[in-house]
Amino acid sequence: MRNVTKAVIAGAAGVALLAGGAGSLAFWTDTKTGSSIAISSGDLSLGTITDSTGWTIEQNAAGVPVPQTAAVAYVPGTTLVVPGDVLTKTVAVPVNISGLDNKATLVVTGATTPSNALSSQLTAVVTSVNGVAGSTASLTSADDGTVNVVFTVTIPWTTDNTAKVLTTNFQATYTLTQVSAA
Amino acid sequence: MSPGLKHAAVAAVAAAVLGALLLGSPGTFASLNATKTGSSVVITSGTITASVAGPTTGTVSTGTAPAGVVVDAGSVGIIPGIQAQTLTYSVTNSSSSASPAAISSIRVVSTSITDATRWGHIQPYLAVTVAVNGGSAVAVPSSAITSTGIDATISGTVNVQPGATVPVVISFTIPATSGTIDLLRQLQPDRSSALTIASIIGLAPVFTLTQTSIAAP
Repeated sequence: MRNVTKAVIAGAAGVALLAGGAGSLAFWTDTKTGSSIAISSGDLSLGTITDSTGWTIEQNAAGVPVPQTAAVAYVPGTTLVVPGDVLTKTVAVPVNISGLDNKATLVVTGATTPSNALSSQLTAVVTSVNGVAGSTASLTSADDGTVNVVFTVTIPWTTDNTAKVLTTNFQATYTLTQVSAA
Repeated sequence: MSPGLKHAAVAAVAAAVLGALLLGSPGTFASLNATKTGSSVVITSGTITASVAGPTTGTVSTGTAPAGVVVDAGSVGIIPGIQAQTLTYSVTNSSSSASPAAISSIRVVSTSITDATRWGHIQPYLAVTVAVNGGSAVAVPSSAITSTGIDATISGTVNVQPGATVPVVISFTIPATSGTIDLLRQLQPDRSSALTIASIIGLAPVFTLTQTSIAAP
């Protein structure tokens, strides 16, 4: 019994010591804060696009007997198009693309509204994006600035009389989407 | 199941769940993007409008009157071997037209025969020509001049700029003779009793303007 009593008392003392000793142990310490590392995100955005002025018109569609050799200014709403005409515009699209691994595709689409005999017979295409034939181009931060997009709207020489005296509107949509840098 | 196998199974389940999440979330990967819509560009088509004025009637000498035949001053209409009748139409490519055009075809077509007896007499000998803008006269094939009237299409390429007008002259001629037949004498009963024209046949020509390329002269 005596030994048991001793053990109980020793155990209780141990618990009391452990309980009372939290944070009270004194020894030498040192702490340093590292330098601040700035983390800045890049950008992927399109600036204000001016694409409704500066178009040219030239009658040199396929099939025109004697194609015109020089393009002249096209004034939307004033200049009237006829079969054989080709409207052209190079749009300098402001592109902000920054970041070491920032790679993006610029997809350009065009549509005409409203639908009528004129819009159904003309062909509106994105001829090139950033010098690449077609409507899509890959961009990197090296392309930050402006990217040229070339549009061509052709009223075929074979356009028929149903397309006379009609109006349609051509409008483009520019979409930049980040892709993996790989 | 051993503990190692258990971990493998748990990993497989986790991978399967992750795979399901990937498959089920197309387009949800966040990445930078930007979209802009450009300005609208108006495209308006033009047209070509032909207008025809006339005809003005006239006469052209085709020969001198033989001895004994006197042509009254002011005689109009056809006199065999002596005088042709002309109908001059003015074809205009409207100034509102958006393109130069060419008179691509002229259909010389009659509407009605107003004097069948006289038509029956002159029809076998009648010659019809069409001249555009002072160019050489193109003959209407005799096969197109029948007992039922005239219907022939003459093709052409005379250019007409927007706002410009060109004359088209349709001439009607009867020769002095046909073989051994003296037509001046044979058709004398069909002459008009007055200086005015005796209407024999009605004409309603159709002029077609077709767009040419802008670079055309």
